[in-house]
Amino acid sequence: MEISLQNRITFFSELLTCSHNILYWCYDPELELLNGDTPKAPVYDALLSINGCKDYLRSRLEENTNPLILSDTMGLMWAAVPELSGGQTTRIHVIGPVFISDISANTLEKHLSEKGYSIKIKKTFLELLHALPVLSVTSFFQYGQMLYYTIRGEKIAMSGFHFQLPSPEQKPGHDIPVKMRSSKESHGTWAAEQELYRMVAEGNTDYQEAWDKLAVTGSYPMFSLGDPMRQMKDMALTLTAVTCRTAMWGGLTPELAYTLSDYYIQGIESASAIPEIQEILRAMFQDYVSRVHDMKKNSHVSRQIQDSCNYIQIHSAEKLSIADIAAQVGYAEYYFSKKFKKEMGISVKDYIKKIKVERAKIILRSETISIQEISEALSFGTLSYFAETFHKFTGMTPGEYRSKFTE
Amino acid sequence: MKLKKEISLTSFLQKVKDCRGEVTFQTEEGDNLNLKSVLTGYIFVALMMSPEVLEEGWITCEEKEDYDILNEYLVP
Repeated sequence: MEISLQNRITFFSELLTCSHNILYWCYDPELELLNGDTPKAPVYDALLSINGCKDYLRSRLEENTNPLILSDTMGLMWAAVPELSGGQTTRIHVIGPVFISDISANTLEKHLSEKGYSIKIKKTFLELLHALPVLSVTSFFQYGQMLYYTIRGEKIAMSGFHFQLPSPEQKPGHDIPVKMRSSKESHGTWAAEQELYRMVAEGNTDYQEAWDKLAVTGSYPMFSLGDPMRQMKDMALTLTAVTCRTAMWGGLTPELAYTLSDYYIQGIESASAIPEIQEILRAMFQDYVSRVHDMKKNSHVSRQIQDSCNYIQIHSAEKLSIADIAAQVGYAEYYFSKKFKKEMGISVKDYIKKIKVERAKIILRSETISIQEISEALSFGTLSYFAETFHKFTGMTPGEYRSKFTE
Repeated sequence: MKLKKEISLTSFLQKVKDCRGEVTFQTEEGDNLNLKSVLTGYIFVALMMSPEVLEEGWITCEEKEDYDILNEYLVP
């Protein structure tokens, strides 16, 4: 017997209150609240608005109808799923807000004490804070997936969600005892990690399912240095370090593996929002896996040519000359060019362009810097040359690629 | 100046960002909330649960011309 959508929504919204008391909201396509008949509805609606999340949701809905994870600088998170009819959005179903760690709430309480506000102000704000549920990112993602299933009637992996990345304006701001993990969550995390790292060592590019499994079953470190952003960054740094070592076990040269690690660590430390860190992690993982994959595929290639490829990959942001690369591996330019083409099936010049384009693809997916800046950062000379080269290898302009990937 | 009743606080906070100088909300208990601060924005939203605090408090603009920007939200 098929259950109507409205009954599914009613049942799901009641289920949400069973363990974490997560709130459910329904908006019209103009993002006016449809179920705002509770006294606190305007307050929660305002929380979605004041740090730009509602505006972001509005702008995304103009482009496509994918589900979203929204987050703000205070550590609050929402999941939003558009309901469709004839390809058009008829309603938007939102759950949240939730704090994604108790650190966020504790940090806000601490700030409040330091400011010396009156008892009335403190009491009112703390009442709001304590009413908001606190749960892990992975748990909230699971609720997001359940919301999607409730509305659309089909399953979705976490990779199907779009994560809000911070705009340039959205820039922000201790000792918590280590909590003992439960046996069940520890075993789930270890199993998911083992599978994922096995794929890195093998250069197995079909890792997406294993990645999603870690996002859902894995749990993040239970320590904190005082704020959720630091917690997420520390987790990301750990994941990057382990992936780097695993890639070396898979055969990637230490020089290349550590250089990549430095690049991604820099990105992680510069990140200003949790979804941004997640995007960097995805790009990092894909980078390592694909490089191990390519290296294994090219196992027939001589050591010197492999070293020259590594050199090009490490220095892909620089202006490279074939003569310099040849000198690095101890060959004359003419001999090196011939040998490279014979073993790799591609000229040195085209290989350099290919690697630069691969690097550009990563940056286009994971960072918000302009295409002009990417062109300059990768030493393409001119924007038009960058666009032409990019199109040659991908069939798309850099702008089209960025739009496609961030849909 | 006092805030009008039944205004959209989120629209008001958005408008505050257009102001040149500091904009503060002061309460009867002596609190000074800098409305351009991210944290204070959340506190201000929480005050929707205590409307009497919003009604009794008042807005002060560092720059006089900012009162014109916030005109539609303030009691003349």
